[in-house]
Amino acid sequence: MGAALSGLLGAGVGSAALAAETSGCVTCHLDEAMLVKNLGGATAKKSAMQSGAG
Amino acid sequence: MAPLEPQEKVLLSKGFLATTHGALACESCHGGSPASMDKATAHAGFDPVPSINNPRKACGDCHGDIVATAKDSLHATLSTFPRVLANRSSKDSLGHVDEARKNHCSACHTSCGGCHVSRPQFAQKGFIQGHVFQKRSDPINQCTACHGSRVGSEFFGERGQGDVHAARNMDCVACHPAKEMHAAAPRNLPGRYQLGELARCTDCHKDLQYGSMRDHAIHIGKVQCQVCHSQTYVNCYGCHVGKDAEGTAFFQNRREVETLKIGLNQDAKAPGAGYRYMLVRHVPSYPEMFDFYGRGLFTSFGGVPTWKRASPHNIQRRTWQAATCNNCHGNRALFLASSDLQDHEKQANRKVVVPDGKLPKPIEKTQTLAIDTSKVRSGMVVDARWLHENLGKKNVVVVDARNRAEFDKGHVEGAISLDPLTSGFRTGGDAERPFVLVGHEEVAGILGRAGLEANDHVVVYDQSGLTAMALLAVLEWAGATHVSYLDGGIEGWHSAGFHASKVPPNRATRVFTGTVRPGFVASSAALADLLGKPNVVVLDARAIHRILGETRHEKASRAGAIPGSINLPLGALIMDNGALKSPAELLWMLRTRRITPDKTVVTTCDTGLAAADAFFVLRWLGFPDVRVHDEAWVIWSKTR
Repeated sequence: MGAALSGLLGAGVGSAALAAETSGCVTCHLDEAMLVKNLGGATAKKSAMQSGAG
Repeated sequence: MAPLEPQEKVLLSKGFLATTHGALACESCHGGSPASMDKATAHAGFDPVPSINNPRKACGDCHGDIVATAKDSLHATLSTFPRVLANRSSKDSLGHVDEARKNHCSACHTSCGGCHVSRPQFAQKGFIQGHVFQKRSDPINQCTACHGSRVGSEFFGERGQGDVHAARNMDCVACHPAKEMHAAAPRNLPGRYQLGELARCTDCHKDLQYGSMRDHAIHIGKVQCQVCHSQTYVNCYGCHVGKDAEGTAFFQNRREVETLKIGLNQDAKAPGAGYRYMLVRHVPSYPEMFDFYGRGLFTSFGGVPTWKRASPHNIQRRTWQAATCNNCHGNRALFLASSDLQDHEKQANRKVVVPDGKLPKPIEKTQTLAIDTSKVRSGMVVDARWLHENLGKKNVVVVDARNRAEFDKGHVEGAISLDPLTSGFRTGGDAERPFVLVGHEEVAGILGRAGLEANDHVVVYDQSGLTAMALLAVLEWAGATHVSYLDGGIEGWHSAGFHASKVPPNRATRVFTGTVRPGFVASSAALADLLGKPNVVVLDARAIHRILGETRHEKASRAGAIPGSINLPLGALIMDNGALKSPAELLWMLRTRRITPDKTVVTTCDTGLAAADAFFVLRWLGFPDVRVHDEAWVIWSKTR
C-alpha cells in the first residue's frame, strides 16, 4: 500500500482522487439508494440469545 | 450510540475522497475487484477488516512504527486472557477453555480500523464520518461502543453522577493517549495493570502528597486514588456462554449489582500500585461458565480472584465514602468480607478479603456531616419485607410498571399491570407536542380503569425504577394521596426471598377522584421566566454526553442544554435495579451541587420521563417545591 500511496502522492492527489471517484467501489458506496437496494434485509451476525453488557 | 442501518454502515462521504486515505485505491487495503459493477464479483477476495487480518500490509507500509507495536497491543491481542484462564484450568482442560476463549472472549478485540475509521466489530461495525480516518478515537462510537457498561455508562453518568473528567469535556484519549494504546503488551503479561504505559492519575495530578490537602498527605501510598474518588460501580455475576441453534456464539451476563467494595491489594508489584487498599470489582467468572465446552473445565478456579482491582471511570472530587472520616473508617460494609463471597469463590479471594483486624479504625475526633433528614417522607419508599407483610391489606394496591410481557413472566402476587409508557398518560413521540402529559380527566380515567382510587395506598415497582417513579409522579400529580416506591424493584423482591406469581390481575374498575396537584408542571415558558431567579434550580437529569452536545435525542431539533441548568444525571439518584441510596447520602450529594430543599427545583431531561423520576426522588427526600418540566429538551430545543 505504501508504494501505491507514494505513487499517488507523486502523481498528485487530485488526479488520484479522480481515479478513486471513478472506481466501482466508490460509485456504489456513494450511492445510498443502491446500497439500500443491495443490503436490504441484511442483518447483524449477533445471536438473539446474547444479553447483558460486555 | 445510535444504531446504524446496513447502508449507513458502508456509505462513503464525498469528504473522504479529499483525504489522503481517500486518494488510495480501495483495493490497496481491502482487496476485491473494483472494476466489477456486480456486487458478488466486486467483493470476491474483499477484506472488510484489513487492519485486523493484515495490519502490516493495510496500515504498516505508511505507519510502520505504530503498527510494529500496535499489532501486539492489548486491544489487538487481549493477550492477558490466556494466562488468567490457564491459571484456572489444567493441562487437560486448557484446550477446551481456549476454544471458548477464542469464540467468546476474543470477540472483543480490535485493531487500527476499530479505533480510527469505523465502529469496532463487537459494536456491529459501520463507518465513522463516511470512512474519514480520525486520529483521535470517537468516545461514543468507538471507545465506549465496546467499553460500555463498566466505562461508558459510568463516565457519562448513565450510572452515577458521571466522571468529573467527562464533565470537563475530556475524552478517552485525554488520559489514554497513543503511547498507551499503541504499546505492545509484553509476552506473559499477567494483567493489564502491569502494562508500563498504562495511564495513571499521577500522570497529571503530580506530587499531591506535598500539597495542601491534608487527606492526600495522610492517604497517598496507602490507598488507591479511586478508593476515595470513585462512586459505586457495576459488578457482574454469572456470565454464561454458548452457541445458539445457528452456531452463533453468545454470552449472557445474568446479574449486575451496583456497589463499591474495598479489598486488600494483592497486586502491589504492578507499576505505581504499592498501596494497601484498592477498589475491587466482581468479574463475571464462575466455575460453570464454560460448561458448553465441557464440564468442570476450571479445575483450579480458586487460582485467580473473582474480585479484582478496579479503576471505575466515575471520578468525583468529593464522594460519600470520603465525605467524613468515619464514612470509611470502621465501615465494615464498605470493605470486602467473607460474607460477600459465594462458596465457590472463597478460596480465590482469600487474600483480597479485608479481615476485621485490617479494617481502618474509626477516628474518635472528627467532623460529622450536618445533614437534615427530618423532612424525608419515609412512607414514600417501602422495602420488600414491608410489602410482603402488607400484601392483601385493605387499600394497599400493588402496581407493576414494567411492560406487559415482563409482567406476564412473573409479578408480585396481586399486582396490577400499568406501564406508564404505553398507557396513554403522555402524547406520542410524533405528536405536535411530543411526550407531554395529557389532560387530568384522561389520566384519571386510565388510573380508574386500572383499578386505582385516589385514597388507595399505591405501591409501585418495576425493574429499574425509571417507569415506576414516572408513574408515581403521575399519580401524585393526579391527586393520589398515598404512594410508595418498592426499593430495589422486582429484583429486590426476589433477593429478599419472595416468589413471583403468574396469576393474571383481577381488579375491578374504580373511579379515580383525585384533584390535580397545583404547580406540578412547569412549561417551557414558565421555566424561562424562572431562569436566573434566586432560589430556583433547574436540575437536568440527562447523561453528560447530552449536556456536552455530543449526542441528542432523536426528536430534539438540536443538541445542548438549558442555560443555567445544573446537570445531575438520573443515575446519581437511582442505582442499578432500582435500588436507592440512603437519604443522607442523596441529600449530601445534592448539596454538593447546590440543590437544597430551601429552593424551588425544576427537573428536566429529554422527554420528561427522567424529570418525573427525579421529581419523585426529591419529593421523597422532603423537597417542598419540585416541578417537572415535562416539555423537556425535545420541545425546548424546537422553540427556544
